[in-house]
Amino acid sequence: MHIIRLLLALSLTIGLSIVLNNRIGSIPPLGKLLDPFNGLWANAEGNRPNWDANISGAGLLETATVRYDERRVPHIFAKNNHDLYFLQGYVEAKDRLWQMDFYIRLVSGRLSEVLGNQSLDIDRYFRRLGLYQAAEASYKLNNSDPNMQEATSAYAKGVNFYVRSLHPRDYPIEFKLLDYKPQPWLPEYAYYIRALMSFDLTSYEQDIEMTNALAVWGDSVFAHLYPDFYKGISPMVPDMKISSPLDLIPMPDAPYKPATLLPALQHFLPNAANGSNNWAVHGSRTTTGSPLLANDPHLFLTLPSIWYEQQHHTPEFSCYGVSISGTPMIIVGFNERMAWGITNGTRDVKDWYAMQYDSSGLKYLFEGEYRLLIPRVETIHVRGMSTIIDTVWCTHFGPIVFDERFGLDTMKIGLALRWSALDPGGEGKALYYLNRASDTSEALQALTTWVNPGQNFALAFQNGDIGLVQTGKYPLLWEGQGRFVLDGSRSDHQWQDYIPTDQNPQHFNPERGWVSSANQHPTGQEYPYYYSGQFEYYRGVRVNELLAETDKADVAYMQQMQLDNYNAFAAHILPWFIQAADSLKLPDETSMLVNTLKDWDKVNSPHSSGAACFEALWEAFSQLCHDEQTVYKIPIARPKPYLIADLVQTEPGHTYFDLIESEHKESAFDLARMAFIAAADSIKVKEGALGKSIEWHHYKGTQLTHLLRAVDAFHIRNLEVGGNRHILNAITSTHGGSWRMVVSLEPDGPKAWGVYPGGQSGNPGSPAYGQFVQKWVAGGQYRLLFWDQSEQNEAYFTQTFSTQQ
Amino acid sequence: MKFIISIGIVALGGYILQSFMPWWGIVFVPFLAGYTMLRKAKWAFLVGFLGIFLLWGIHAFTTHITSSGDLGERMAMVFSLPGPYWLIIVGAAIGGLVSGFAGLSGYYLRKVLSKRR
Repeated sequence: MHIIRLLLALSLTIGLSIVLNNRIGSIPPLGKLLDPFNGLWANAEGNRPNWDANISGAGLLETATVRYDERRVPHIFAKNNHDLYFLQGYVEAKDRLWQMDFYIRLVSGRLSEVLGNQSLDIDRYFRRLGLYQAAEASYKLNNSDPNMQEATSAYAKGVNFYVRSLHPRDYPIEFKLLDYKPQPWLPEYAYYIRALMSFDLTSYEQDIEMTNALAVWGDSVFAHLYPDFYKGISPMVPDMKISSPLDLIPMPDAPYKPATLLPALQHFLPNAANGSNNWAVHGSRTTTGSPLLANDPHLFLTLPSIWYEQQHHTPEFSCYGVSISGTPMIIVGFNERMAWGITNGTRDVKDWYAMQYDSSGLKYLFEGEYRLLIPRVETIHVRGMSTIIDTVWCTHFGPIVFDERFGLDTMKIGLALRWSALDPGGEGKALYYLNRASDTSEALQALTTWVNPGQNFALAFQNGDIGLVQTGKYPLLWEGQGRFVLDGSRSDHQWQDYIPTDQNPQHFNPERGWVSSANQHPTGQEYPYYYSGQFEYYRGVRVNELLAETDKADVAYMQQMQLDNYNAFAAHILPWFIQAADSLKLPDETSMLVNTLKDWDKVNSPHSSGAACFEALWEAFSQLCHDEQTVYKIPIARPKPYLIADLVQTEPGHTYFDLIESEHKESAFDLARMAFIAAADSIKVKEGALGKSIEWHHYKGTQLTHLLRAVDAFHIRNLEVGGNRHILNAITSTHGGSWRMVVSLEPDGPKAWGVYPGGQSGNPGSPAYGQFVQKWVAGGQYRLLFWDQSEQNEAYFTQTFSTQQ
Repeated sequence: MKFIISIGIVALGGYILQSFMPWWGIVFVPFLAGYTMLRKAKWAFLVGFLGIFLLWGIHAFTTHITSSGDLGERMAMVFSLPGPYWLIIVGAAIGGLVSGFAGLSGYYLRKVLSKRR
């Protein structure tokens, strides 16, 4: 009786204490979390925190201050580079610690350690890619450079100094929800961030999808549907001729054709919409006579934002811009003498090689002989489960990522990866020198060490010069090499040489008076070297169209361009759809849709119903066109929208429009009819749910996604924005202009504006978490404060770091 | 009266212990109170429960109203609760529950030991 009650009460007390102290499945440790002294309540912030402080024990060489402005942008005033990068680590950790920790775990394939079984596949994938090894190799390569060694080690010290000052109650809330602690920060982690960007920007390719497409369509239809170049493209660098190019490599006979169609393999790929716009206008075409530079990188819109604003000031230089938390340097921004912005080069630098094994499975065939595979054993600790061991077999091309134990199940081949992201590079070093550069030769010199991810740098200088330079190390390829899976047994399928970086597409001060890039073809067909990639068409044309329209450009015009919602793709294909609607006898339910489309101005403004109707129609139509993928159940590359827009008008009877499963031979008109009906229906359903007529922003449903996708409450949803892919304002439901910046390089100093959708604080409990979102949605930009030593009184709060121990 | 004082002691004890111990340090004082001071099982539970319910509830409440409110709002959504005040109540109740059972444990321990004499 009493003994029983005692045992019951005791076991409940002790049992609850244990259960509520640990994470069980996806349920956080509720006792720890709800304890108001040390749990989630400790992460609450006031509206105007007072974080003025005098901080000692940092180990700085000289005193330094960090002055935060009203938007919580830290302006770091240091007297030397060591202290500068120490403080960059410190301020980034202060605001974005969890994000930094998450990125390292993602690249290392160590998410399962804290998230459990749900991340096992993604961890295996990243281990097989071996990006962490590439990061370690870049670290070794660059550590012999004293500037990089100092910067990365000081940065790490800054992060660790901040973390050591924390009591567990001060840990970011995500650590508390998932019940783990921040890991010590290592200097090499700066290169893990480079690996992350390499993944985000160069891992999207379609080699497998194209190989399948070739097999499904056959050579001549394939060539028609997937040409390397299109008429009417507006290349980044028109007229890129090379005076003495390297000898080209002849195409080998009998390119590789796999025995069977390849299954869908790459379930974790960045969005193809990771692209951007940038441009620079020469002073001869601006109102001030000074050059203007604009950039809006398009990335997955996360919370916290991938970008973090800051200013760096030392006696040597002063630089403002955005960086990615986890690595020193400023990635996009400006200094006193120049400004720069980046867009993704989108050239293919990632190839798959089909490997054949010998009977033991321990060797691979190469040039008639068998070579030993080198094993790399990966140990993955999975929270709540036993440790997983995965052996990655490596060839001289690179690691075999997909084999029968991972993705290829019954197929007897392995797919080895050759990817320039796995080559060490000096991107951080390039940024170090670029942050301090003042003219074209210094900028070009800085960019020579850039290997991957290849970016198009728009440059503008106070001295009046403008330029556009495609960075990166690109392989010398034979015609068509890299578009398909290659034969891993042949030496002539390897990357045999590299294009010298000074022969990469680039130009300075072109006659037309501006430079621009929007992920389109970097060159026309006059460029001697073969390349393939994922190239945009419409944004390339539109950006140049708008820049040609004015010779009196000002900051407002640049900003309006970044917000341009004109849908050139719709302008290309919609007339055909309308003509089709008029000639086909469509049922009555579609008449609303057709009339809305007829009235539409081809602008994807946020409140446009025409835009919603068009997107519904195009989605239905392109799905129908691409029935082969659904029927054969394999991934097949889609022809580009510009090709389809052309094809429906020139060859509506083309076999691409024929539905395989029906005996009738469909034409584009038949598909249009079906698409109109399907789209009208889907719009009706959506409007029924909404209770009113649908507008583009409802249909699109743009949101900012917290890195922990499962935690719904941390996302910011339903942003009233327009745009879409193929539009300059390239906002999709999850991707878009992650940073918008305009800089005017005037004689008395740079004037700049910028905004990103998010906030400086990564704390979902902070009022600063989404502080910039409204401004970004409204299309505004903040004036960026480029301070010098004298502006004492504008700081919101100041932290002074002494040299005291 | 003793009832009220014991609640205060539990709350104060929890506050002091929590300043250097993890959250489960809240169990010790109610356990002792149940062992020494309380004459009925339901009081032993209630003293433990209310002591921590009030300590945690009031602290969370003052934290919330002196803050911007964003944390309370967001975290209430994470727990699918209608609002931050529910989050405060639920959190306080969870702490209270553990503390209540600790009080009961102390009470029954005394019962068991005194029976033996």
